[in-house]
Amino acid sequence: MLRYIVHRFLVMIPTLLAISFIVFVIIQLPPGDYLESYVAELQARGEGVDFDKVAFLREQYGLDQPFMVQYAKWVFGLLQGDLGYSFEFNLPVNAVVGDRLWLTALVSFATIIFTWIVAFPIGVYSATHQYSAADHSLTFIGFLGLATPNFLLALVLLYLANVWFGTSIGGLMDERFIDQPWTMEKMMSILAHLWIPVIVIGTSGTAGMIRRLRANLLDELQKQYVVTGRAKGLPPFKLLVKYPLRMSLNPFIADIGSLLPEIISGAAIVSVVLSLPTTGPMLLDALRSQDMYLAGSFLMFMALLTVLGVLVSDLLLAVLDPRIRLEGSAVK
Amino acid sequence: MNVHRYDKHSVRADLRRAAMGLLLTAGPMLLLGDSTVALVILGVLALLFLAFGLRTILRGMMLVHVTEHGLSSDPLGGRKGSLPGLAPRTIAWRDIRKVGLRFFSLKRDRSEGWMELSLGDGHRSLRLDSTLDGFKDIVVRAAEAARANNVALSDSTKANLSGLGIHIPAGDAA
Repeated sequence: MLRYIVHRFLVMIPTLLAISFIVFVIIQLPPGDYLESYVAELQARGEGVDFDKVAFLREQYGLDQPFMVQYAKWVFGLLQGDLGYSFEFNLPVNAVVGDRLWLTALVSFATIIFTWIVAFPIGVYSATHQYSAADHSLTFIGFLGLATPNFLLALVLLYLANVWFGTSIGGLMDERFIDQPWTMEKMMSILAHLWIPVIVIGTSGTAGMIRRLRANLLDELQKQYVVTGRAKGLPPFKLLVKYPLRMSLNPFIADIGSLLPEIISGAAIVSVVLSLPTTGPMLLDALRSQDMYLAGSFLMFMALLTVLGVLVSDLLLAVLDPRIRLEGSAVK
Repeated sequence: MNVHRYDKHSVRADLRRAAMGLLLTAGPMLLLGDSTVALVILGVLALLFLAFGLRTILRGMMLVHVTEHGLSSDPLGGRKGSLPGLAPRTIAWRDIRKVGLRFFSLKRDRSEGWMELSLGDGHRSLRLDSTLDGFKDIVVRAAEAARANNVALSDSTKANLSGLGIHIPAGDAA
């Protein structure tokens, strides 16, 4: 296992370096830089531009340096926890993003847990009670969940909460806690608000997971070893849990890597609708205004989550299912 | 008695990996200032690569002896000296109580990879990689011992044995 872990980390480190390079190239791709956009904006508004000051800022922010120098400085800063400088906010990126990165991670992980907790029993029930009335009902609800865009569900919930309870369910905490230090009260407020974005963001993923688990488990349940076990009189629960359920768990684990970026990028519009202090809306603004270090930091954060998710899923798969694939496998 | 060693090319490749890992983790640590979080993360990773490197060096020296009675590993390959945990270990075939064969692959389609055989007699355990020469012969012998001792094999182990062309008769080693 140590050899496997070392191999995986050795793949992960260059992957992150490659992603950081690609991210830096992408955020530099639009013509010009933030200062040029800023000057153009001032000129469009008919305001005067102090070109000496612009030249000074370009030198101060290192925008006049070669691409590779800028990249090396950025990556080394990332390693030290320095995310760079936000031109738009005129503040270090660390100060601008504040708690957004952690709140995004919290919403994402809570959504994944919600997805699994809801999808797992429903998927198993649907597969073991195929074509029953409950299976049809759950399938119908699942399709509704798949077909409903997240932002629409958010709008519906906002409307219903306003009409029924006369309250707004937007935000991730009470307003008095925004930009305040972390306290137990703030944590409780976040937990009290968390369920709405989790349900809104997690619904489609849950529905999809139910469909996949149901299909995988149905495939396993129809295999010969299950029929043999049933014929030999194995108790149904033991027969279900011992092999078919374990085999159908693989997609759950394999999905961890792709789930995180899907949730984060898919939640951007929901975050706008629900006024969530997560990374999505700020990333959109940063990309639009060419605030390169702010945008780059968010993109690297998402890449890190993706790579870590894939690493966790690979390690779990190696522990849970260390089987060879018989077709054309080569053992060193 | 048969004597088995780890493949030199494989040992060298693993040593290169350990060195590369140390370079990528310990290198930036020397340049970092007082960023505690980064130092801790890189430090843990550097220790992991260091441990892997040391284990690989031991694997390069290790000799595995297989006899009719059992299997023994000598981490220092007959060299003098003893360190805690590096004493030769012997497991008799008749005492085997645990046999596991796991497959590790870096590819999602599991088309290439390596196997790890773990043997135990209740007191001692041994782990051998498929980069050991004559690995399949040892696995065959371990599977026979498992069958003779009625050792329960996991579903994964059975599938992996089958992947090596070793078939466990139905009803045996269930």
